[in-house]
Amino acid sequence: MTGPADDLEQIRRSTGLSHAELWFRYFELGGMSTALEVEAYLYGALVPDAEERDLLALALNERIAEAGGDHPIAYTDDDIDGDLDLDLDARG
Amino acid sequence: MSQADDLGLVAALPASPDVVDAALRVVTALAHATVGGADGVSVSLSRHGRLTTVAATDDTIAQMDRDQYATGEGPCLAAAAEGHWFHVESLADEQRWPHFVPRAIQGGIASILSTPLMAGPEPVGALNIYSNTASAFGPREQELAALFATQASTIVTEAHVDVTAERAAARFRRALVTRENIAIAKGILMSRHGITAAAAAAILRRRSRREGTPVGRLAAAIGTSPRIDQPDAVE
Repeated sequence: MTGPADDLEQIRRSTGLSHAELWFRYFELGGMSTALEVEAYLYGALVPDAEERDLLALALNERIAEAGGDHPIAYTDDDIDGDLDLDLDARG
Repeated sequence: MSQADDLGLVAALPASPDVVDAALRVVTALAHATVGGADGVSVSLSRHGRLTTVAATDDTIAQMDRDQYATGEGPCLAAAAEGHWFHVESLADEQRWPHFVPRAIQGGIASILSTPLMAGPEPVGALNIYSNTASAFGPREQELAALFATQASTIVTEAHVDVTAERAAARFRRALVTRENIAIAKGILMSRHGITAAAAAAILRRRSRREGTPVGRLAAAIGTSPRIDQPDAVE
């Protein structure tokens, strides 16, 4: 986790997505947690693992991108493997 | 028998899809006869996730609906998507929907009034009234259109043609396809690069961020074109 789950809840509100809608998008992206668990993550009652947290961040980022923004929410592995994709591409 | 009685009778018909369609055809015929200036009326309904004309007073009108589905724009689509009515007072002056409007003018249509059909808070279709005369629809006609749209909505909802659930199911099916595409794309990346699932997910996320393309679309492209995850030479 790079930041408190509270940040995601605040961003969710600013995007206008309901909890149900956010869960649906997260599920579509491969999320494994239930809607109730996702709400618990957002309110800080449960702590998601990095993968689930990043899927929530991705769902919110994609929503913001749809509205014309970029992807403002960082991912947990952004700072550790900054060039991961480029390295892999170069090798592939 | 009064008009209201006619409508009540229509709503009391038992529900099978055929009967629902027949009831909606009666509503369009009544609207056609009642709304001043109406040269044709149709009802579009969301079925299997897309709009279909289930009743139209004639072929020209059915074609007007089809032209909107084909161009992906027009007052019918807008009303069915946004849940409030759209009024085109004069097609000759209409700036919205540049692909559909010329086709409508060619079909001899001069004004259109599209009123949404609602299943609770959800728009599920539209009642469309077409006229060969510009400015055919004033406040009274709009009120009548709303009445007939409400009636058509009632027929659809009370017939238990659960359009909302059907649409939710269609959306859920699409979501499952996306989810599967993402899993497949991750598998391709893992196998190709000898990496973990988490690393494959990170690649997709980052490419999505860099290119502004949703992960679902990237994943579908990776699944159908095996070399798509390779970088451009300039990257």
